[in-house]
Amino acid sequence: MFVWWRDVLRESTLEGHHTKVVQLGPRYGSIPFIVSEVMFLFALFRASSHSSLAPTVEIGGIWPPKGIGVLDPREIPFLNTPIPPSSGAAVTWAHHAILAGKEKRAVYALVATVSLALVSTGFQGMEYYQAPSTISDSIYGSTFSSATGFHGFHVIIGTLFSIICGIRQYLGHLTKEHHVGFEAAAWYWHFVDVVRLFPFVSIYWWGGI
Amino acid sequence: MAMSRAALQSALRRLGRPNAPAKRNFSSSAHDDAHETAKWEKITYLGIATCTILAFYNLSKGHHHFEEPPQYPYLHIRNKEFPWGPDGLFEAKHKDH
Repeated sequence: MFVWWRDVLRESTLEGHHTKVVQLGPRYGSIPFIVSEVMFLFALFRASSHSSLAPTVEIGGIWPPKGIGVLDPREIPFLNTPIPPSSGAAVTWAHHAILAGKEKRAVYALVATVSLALVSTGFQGMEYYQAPSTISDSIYGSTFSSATGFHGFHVIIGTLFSIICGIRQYLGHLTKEHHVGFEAAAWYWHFVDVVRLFPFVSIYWWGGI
Repeated sequence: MAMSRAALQSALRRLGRPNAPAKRNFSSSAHDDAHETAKWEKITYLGIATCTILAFYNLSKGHHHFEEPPQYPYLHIRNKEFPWGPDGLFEAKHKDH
């Protein structure tokens, strides 16, 4: 993977092969990729809704299942919900800074994006550490952990993507007219931060009270 | 004849020139980018301030501990032989925490 993307960066940035027409490929490719990711995460939220809307007798016929301790949605889950959108604001700041030719500001903005993302992952880890149930505790644990865990995994991917863009911006790879890699990272990051609202509302809040 | 050749040449030259200024496809910003940069910088700071206040408030409250639930068959499922034994790698948290 690393070698592949290294080659793409060399071809686009150093060899200049990514003409306007070639840039359309990764742009159009990003759209179905992100749409498929949305579908994947929605399937996990759907699994949670499916199990919670008509709880089976095996788990006591109630949701959350009898004996399951759930997190207070007003605590870390609520804290962790505005962090990804704030990071999304920072990536928009970076985008406008690139378009305005403010190269240093764009690097600062990407540092802010990545920092907020890391704080979010840290709080997610803390939440799992304090959580009264685990993935092995009934269908609640399975659906809760797979949905929030896969979202957290996407946060980590988006963080790596933003780190790469930050390094490339620092090295002067991204210009006003040509920054497809950054745009793909920004689209991906907005997808990740908007999707966070869904587990918060449906799993933590509605599913936990 | 000479005139028409000159006209043709200038038309060809015009065709070969890239359209300036370069139009940014996929772009919706008609505003001044410097102004937008400053605006989104402020929004980011506002977000950071909000998250910091929320974090301090949350962390100062502490978290409550949960009692061990009764041993229902659907809880604490152990049906795979992991190399590290029957409990999860982070399972000890309930005992020492």
